[in-house]
Amino acid sequence: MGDAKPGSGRAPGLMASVLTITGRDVGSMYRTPTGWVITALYVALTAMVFTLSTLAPGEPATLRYFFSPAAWLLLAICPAISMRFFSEEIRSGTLEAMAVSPVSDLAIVLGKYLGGVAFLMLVLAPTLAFAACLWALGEPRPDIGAIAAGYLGLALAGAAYLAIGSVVSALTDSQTLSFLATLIVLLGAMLMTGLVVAQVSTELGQKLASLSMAARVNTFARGVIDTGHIVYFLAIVAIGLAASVAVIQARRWA
Amino acid sequence: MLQLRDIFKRFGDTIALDGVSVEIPGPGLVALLGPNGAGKSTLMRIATGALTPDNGEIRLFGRSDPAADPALRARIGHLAEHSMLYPEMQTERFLRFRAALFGLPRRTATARIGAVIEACELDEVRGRRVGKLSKGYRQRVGLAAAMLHDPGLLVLDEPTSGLDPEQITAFRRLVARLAEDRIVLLSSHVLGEVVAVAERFVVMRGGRVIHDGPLGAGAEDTPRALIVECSMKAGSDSDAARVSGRLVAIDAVESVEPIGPRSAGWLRLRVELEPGKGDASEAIARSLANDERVVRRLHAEATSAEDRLMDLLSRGGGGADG
Repeated sequence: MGDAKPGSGRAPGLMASVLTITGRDVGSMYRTPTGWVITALYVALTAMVFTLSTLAPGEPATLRYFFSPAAWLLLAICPAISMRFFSEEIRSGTLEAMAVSPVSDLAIVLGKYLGGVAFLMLVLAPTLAFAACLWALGEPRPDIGAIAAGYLGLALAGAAYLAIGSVVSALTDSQTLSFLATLIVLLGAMLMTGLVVAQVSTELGQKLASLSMAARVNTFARGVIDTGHIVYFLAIVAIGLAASVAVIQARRWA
Repeated sequence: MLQLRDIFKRFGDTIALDGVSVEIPGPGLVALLGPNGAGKSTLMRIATGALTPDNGEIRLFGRSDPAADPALRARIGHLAEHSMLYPEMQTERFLRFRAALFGLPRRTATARIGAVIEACELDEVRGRRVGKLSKGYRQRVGLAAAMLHDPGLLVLDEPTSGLDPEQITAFRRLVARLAEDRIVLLSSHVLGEVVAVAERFVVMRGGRVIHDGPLGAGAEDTPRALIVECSMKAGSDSDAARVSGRLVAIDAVESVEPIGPRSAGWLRLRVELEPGKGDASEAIARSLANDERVVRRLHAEATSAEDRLMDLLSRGGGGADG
């Protein structure tokens, strides 16, 4: 079979492994109907939001009222992406096939996660048409900086949702369970830190409100880029990925 | 070299492996046999690094613990019982993905993919989606992926599942060739498949190794039955019953049955021996001589490897840990 002595392989570098897994996962999303359905669904729903919230004659040309509902819609879209990270692969055994390859658990988690983030960006990309539409029709022209900040907020919120979904996905071999559990966790977090605390004026309520993701997305939507908010979302991503690595590592013991 | 020393693994209340030790000093094919739940797959998963043992030591090619050593895993190929494939990927694209996971440079990957596609006869399905392939083809894609990076240790769990007889024959030839310069650890429920290619058999039961060596060799492997041919006492129709009665009285003899065809003047008997009581040939010959009979033939009954395996599994087990 081979010219050289067998068994003299070497492990690929971390980035090479990550990019291999990311590339496969993004391609895989579009080789199945799932990827197209998620993209079409999100674009259709955000188009409705855009039409209802932004296209109003006489109003300023802004996407400010678009980003908040767009972030809420991501609550359903991100679990549908993250449920494929590990759950399906645990069930089919492909995660074990990866675990016995010379790829580290960190590379597996990063590769899967970045694949999900890349796919999310591809889902968000068609909504740039709304910004283009506003640019073409709006008078005066919309503030590009504010739109960029709004998209940054949307991307960061989506990245945080995916990191939370990643942990849940690593815990179960059922995609359905992964989707529902992630949705419940995200909805619970949004409600606890948003709608519920709005009714509570205690110190605890204020502390919970300070953790709100929705409030941060709204800040970005107003065109304000707060470094603290960026760090907040990145911290959720880091914690989510670290927990995912720990769960994947624990699978070698179970 | 692969060394698995005192491997212990527990899943909840179930002890999957209970102090298993197996050493494979160099290239060759070792068959792992045993009933479902014997611990074969768990041992294989530990050898590949998919699973970490609770206790014990794994050494492979001078390094330890493949679960924690990605570079060591680069030297291991694994085909699990259930093909671990992506159904939405085309065969060749899947193999290219696996090559990238194992860090093969593009040019090497192209050459290796060509080689394994040829070896596993996948040329006509190289552009087809894995999920659309028959079970046999999927199994061959899994085997191709396991061989792709030319591993020094090839672990094959039920590799012929789903293959037709022609493919099984081709697979045997391929595995025998691969085992010339690497360690191949292979498990199968179909004993006939591994008997044809393996010389060493590790038999497991209840998470323990109960036999390690050639099937049928070893002092503990006394024959289960003897074939005896002795002279008949003329004119006596009940002669067979009389001889049977004499032989059953011997301590190590469990039962005696006449077997045909009976040639004129000669009795042909199958003497079943009690396991663990030794070879009764001498006692049988003496008893027949005392009865003034000529013994024309007395030899161990030829047993198939399957009989020998069943014999091993039906015995007390333990003790023969390799």
